[in-house]
Amino acid sequence: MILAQEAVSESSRFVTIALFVLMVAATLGITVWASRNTRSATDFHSGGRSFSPMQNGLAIGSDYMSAASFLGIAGTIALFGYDGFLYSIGFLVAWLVALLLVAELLRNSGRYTMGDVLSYRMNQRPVRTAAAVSTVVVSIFYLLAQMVGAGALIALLLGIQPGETFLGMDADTAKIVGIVVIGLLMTVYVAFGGMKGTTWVQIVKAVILLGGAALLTLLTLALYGFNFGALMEDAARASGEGKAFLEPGLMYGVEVAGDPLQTLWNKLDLISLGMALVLGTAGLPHILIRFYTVPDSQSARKSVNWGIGLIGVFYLLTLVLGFGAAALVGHEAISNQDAAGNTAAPQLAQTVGTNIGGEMVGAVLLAVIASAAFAAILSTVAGLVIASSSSLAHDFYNSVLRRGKATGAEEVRFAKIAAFGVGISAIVLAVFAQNLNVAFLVSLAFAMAASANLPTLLLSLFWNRFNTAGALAGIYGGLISAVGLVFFSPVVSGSETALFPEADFAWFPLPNPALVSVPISLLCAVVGTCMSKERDFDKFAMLQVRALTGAGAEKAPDH
Amino acid sequence: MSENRPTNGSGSPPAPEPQGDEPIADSAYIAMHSDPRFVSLKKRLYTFIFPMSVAFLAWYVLYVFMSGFGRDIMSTVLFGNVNVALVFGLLQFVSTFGIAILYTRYARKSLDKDAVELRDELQNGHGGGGR
Repeated sequence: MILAQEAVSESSRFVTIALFVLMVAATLGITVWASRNTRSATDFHSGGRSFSPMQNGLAIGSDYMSAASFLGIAGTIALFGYDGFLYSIGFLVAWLVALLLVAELLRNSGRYTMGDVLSYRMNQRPVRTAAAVSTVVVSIFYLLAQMVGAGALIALLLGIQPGETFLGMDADTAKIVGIVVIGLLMTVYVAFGGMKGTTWVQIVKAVILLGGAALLTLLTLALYGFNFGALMEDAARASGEGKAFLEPGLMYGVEVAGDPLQTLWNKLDLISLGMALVLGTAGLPHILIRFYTVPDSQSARKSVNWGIGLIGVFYLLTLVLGFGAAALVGHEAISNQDAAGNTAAPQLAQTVGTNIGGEMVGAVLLAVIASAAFAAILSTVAGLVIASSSSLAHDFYNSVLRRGKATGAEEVRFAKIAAFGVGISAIVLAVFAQNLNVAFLVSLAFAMAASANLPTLLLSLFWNRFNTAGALAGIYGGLISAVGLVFFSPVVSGSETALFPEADFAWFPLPNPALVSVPISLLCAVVGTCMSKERDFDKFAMLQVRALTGAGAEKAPDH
Repeated sequence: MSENRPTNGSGSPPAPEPQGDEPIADSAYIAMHSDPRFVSLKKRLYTFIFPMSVAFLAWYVLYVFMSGFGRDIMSTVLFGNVNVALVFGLLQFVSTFGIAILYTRYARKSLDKDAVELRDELQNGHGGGGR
């Protein structure tokens, strides 16, 4: 049952590589096509604002259904049961914040970036700079999470075991090669394809990933005669945890016997994580810029609805896959392959395929799921690169350096250079960050987005008194408190699993900072606002009228 | 609109930047802000989105809180292998889908028409040259 077993591994590896190559060729083809149709800054940053709600909804789902959330959540459910499901619920409910409070108003009042809305009635240069800093920092952390995970994953998906070599590479070299290949591909997608190319890559990926996950779910349920209860029973039994596998508490908010204080911290950390998940999404720059790719705010609303539907269904599929892997592959086989369970879904594919049609079917199904995961990695990282390069070009280069005088063509040229800069920095950082925990990087990105971006964005849209000092205090206060609290948490020092296990400067007990850093950011924003005399009620009136009616909103270019 | 296919042939000059940069005068926006129809539109939007946001966040926080501190209740078996935790989790899916549907209906019925009317009035009536 272990992924790389001689005969199976050879045939499966061949199919996997063939599918990888096919996918890379198809996505590069899309990029070439898109590059021919990308001329203006609106094409580059926002895909010409001409995507339909369904297309953008698929791309939204795609941005979100990263390899970390597909493989990570399925793996967490497979190893820890219910708690993986709990994690996915935070990710889903978060979309209501985007739907009700952000998507339409942002689409109406901004142009290309989050900074457009934040800086609308403020002193442009400092607020744009802060928006660009926060966009790049949040995106880079999220990018690192995806790429670090991807490197390891590609080694695993190709079935390269420690001590084994493939094409002269051992597992560690294969990881680095994986990171570099993914980094170069994402840079090429963005630099040449812009938002059009990136969005089409994401649409293709969403179809492949949803199709693959749905197929595997059906086959898994078929093995149980479509009796989900029997599947849960088997999963709970095979996990060795019994009923506890179906209840919260194996991974988050763990109760430590005889240590009520640690138990309390663990449970507060669960709530802190929940806050980061539910408030982070609507502050993630690569999600926010998706709302600009549609013609108007009604389309933005529809595309979020598509996204909610697709993501919700996807997490329900993941629940079945996780329980399926627990029942059919088993805890030991999963954690032997990867301690965090990231390979649970591919392993399940192999097992289910083998049970249904023999080893060859198992090999093919494994290759299909592995390639879906590969596609998932590629498209999510591309979305992050375009968010960063757009913000660097539009907020920093044009508005700060050139004081808004750069032409569209100059802005696009800078964005392409920025894409290479971001891509290469991410490759280098990811190679050095290889041993960081992927889940930690993801939750940190969400905590930073929830603290630095969301409060400032909401105050910009809804508080008439809000001003430059408040926006700067909110963004930097949120960013610094999130990163600072993590630095002094058990994640970095003072525990066996910390980055620096020998040192101990961890005075903040929660690994997830959002419970404290979000209120700090809000407080900074309010205090900063009140300490400054600046106020511009007329500008606020203009912002509100634009945001609510769509008057003066950016349109799709007439062709 | 649903087709992402620009029609200008290759070799043509770059497409012009969209003309979203207000042809509408600032004063028209500011006047609109205190127009009773706009005030009413804003009120209708706010009376939906704010209470609903408080409601779904409270409902979600209750779920997470119960997952941490209410494990006795969460682990109660309802039937077969189905416990309160699973049902509570699935209800979060139901409420998310439900609120999205409710909001979309509400916006279509009570917001979109007025928003479009006010937008057209701004773009055609004042400041001249709206598109």
